[in-house]
Amino acid sequence: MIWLSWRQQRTETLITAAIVVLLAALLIPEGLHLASLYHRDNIAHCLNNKTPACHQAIGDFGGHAGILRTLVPWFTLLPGLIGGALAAPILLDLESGTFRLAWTQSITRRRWITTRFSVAVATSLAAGALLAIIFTWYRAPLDKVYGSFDATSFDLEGTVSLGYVLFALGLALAIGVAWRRTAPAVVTAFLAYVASRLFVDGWLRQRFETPLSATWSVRERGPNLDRAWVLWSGMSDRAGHPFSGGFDVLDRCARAVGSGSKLVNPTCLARHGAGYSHAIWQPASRYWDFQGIETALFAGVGLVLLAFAAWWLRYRTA
Amino acid sequence: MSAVLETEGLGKRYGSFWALRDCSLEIAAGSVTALVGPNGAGKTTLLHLAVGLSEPSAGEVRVLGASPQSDAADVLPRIGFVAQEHPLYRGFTVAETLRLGRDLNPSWNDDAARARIEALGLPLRKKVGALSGGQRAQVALTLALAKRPELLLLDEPVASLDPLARREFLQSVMEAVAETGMTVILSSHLIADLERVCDHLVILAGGRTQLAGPIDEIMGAHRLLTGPRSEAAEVARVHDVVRQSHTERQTTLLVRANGHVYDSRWELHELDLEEIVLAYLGRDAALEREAVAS
Amino acid sequence: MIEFHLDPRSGVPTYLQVVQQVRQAVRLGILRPGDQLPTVKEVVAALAINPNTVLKAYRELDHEGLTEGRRGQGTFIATTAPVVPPDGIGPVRTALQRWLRQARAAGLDDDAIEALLAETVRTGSSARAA
Repeated sequence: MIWLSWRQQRTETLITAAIVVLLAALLIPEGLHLASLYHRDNIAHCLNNKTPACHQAIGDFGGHAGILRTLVPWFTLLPGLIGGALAAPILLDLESGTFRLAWTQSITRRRWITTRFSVAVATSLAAGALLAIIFTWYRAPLDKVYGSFDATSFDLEGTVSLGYVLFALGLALAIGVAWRRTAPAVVTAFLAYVASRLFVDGWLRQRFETPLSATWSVRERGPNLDRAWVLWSGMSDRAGHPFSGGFDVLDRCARAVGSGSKLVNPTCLARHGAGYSHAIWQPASRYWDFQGIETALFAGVGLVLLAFAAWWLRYRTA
Repeated sequence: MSAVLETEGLGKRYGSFWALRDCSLEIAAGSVTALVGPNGAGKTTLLHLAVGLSEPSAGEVRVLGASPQSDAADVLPRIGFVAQEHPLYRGFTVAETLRLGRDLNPSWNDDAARARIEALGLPLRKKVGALSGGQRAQVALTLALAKRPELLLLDEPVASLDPLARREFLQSVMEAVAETGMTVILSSHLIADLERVCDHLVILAGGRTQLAGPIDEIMGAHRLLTGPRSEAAEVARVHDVVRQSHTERQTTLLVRANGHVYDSRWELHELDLEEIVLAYLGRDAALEREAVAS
Repeated sequence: MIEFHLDPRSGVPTYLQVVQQVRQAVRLGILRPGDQLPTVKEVVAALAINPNTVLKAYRELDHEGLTEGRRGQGTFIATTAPVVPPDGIGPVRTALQRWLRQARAAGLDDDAIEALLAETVRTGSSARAA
């Protein structure tokens, strides 16, 4: 039964492998490039020395992500594609009626379901893990500077990919075993995957734990927001209410102090309701907590969906 | 002889539609039974219930003394099934298809399977999708036979085959029966295919069993009577009239005789199996029309 | 070895056709005492019929005494079966062929010839019985 499960998903396993290889082909050269730049410009040193030169160096370094910067957000769809692809062989088997061949040999229906699903799950998890490993390696230099918490890296590093692929696989199987038409089911599952991801990425994730917030006057240093996930930052009044005016207030409260630079009067800003800075953020220390919560969330729902699909096949299919 | 397949009041419902109803049958070991009926009569439903692909909505089915659904691990290795259209994985080669059989069946006889494929002249490396319809049917049959089943169930096995492929397929089945004495049930909506290979008959129509029994007996009991119209009621009192047609003065009755027909005013004719089957199917259709009209 | 053929439209049950063909073959000297009949498997392979049908035919022939089964070897024409003298049929066949040429020359078609033959056989048998 194990041989049969692999043989039946042979094409889709190859497609998944191709996706992983393609990702590696894109990211490995780029990753090597970034790593060498990191060493060349001694960025590590600059992380602890906030001189203007270092500021410049870090800024330049960040700009070297190149073309991948536009592609990277799309990589987060890959687990959705992989989950859908690996559900397809099982769904096609059901749609075409060939499952009746396997179900009338000598093995029980339960064993067929368990083995087919296990092989699909194993392949998905392996692919998810490989994607995470490749991406984490690629982003290592950037992570040292910016942390892993922002949207373009949180989605692809750590353990969340495992949750995403399980979720995508579960969605495709759950919808497909009830609908019995593979193509629309897989497409619908993918759209549901995208919608769920957008929801969690854009709204739910920041609420996993209550974010920290602080208000400080422009004269003070403020909290350390290095590598944190900053949800909001900007000018505010003393109570922390965001300043709604434009940057022209800076001109109004500024005084020229020779050779082109200006000095801004904090008291004047305060009178306009803008003398403070306010930030809302999730500290970097919470990174693994959040990874855990999001992984558990998607993996949990994915497992429930898989269980539903297994139950449906076992008891509802003729 | 023990019963290899027994059903009692077996029924299957989809929503409010009963695909099979009140089916009570006994199939004896060693028999070759034709399961005949029009499309939608319930033949596939019955076969799927017998192999555990679906669950009864009413009544019971027992195969080799056990339940095909709850005792699947015991029953499945002992029965062979070829579903309608001979489902196979088109992308697999013939060799991979045999491997499927070997992997999934503990009682698989690989040498016999390979010998059979070789005798049929089928190349092992060829993809199943590239084979002809007749060849695919033979591969599907090989899968079912190589596990040495005690009961072989075939759902419309020759429906989509050309006459030569049809003959070769039935020949293969009969050779296997001669060799192992296994029981066979084959369904079809054409009786002509099955007359020479089957010794028992079950007629299904409208989800119900219309007639069941050994073909010899059926042929012996059914007669065509032609005689005076006025006497038709007399005959109907003694024998089961399956079909009747009248002209002004003459009546033709197709009866299942209870005992001998003595009356000299009636001319007796023997019938061939196809006519008997058609009469029963026609009777069911007439009842349907009456039911719909009322 | 005899080769069976089946006429599905004759109205005669399959097993009976097999029985009749064996009887006929013995009558015409095609099968002699000691000759082996095809095995059940061979007949099934050739005709694609139910093995039970073949078994039934062979049982009937055994019952009639026309054949005997030898354990482990198959079914054979019984040594007590009527033997047609090898020269017996030849002259009759030649005479019949001559008569056929005569009948055709007289303008009789195949149907008329068969009808004439059947009637003559019938009246001839009853005349013999009388």
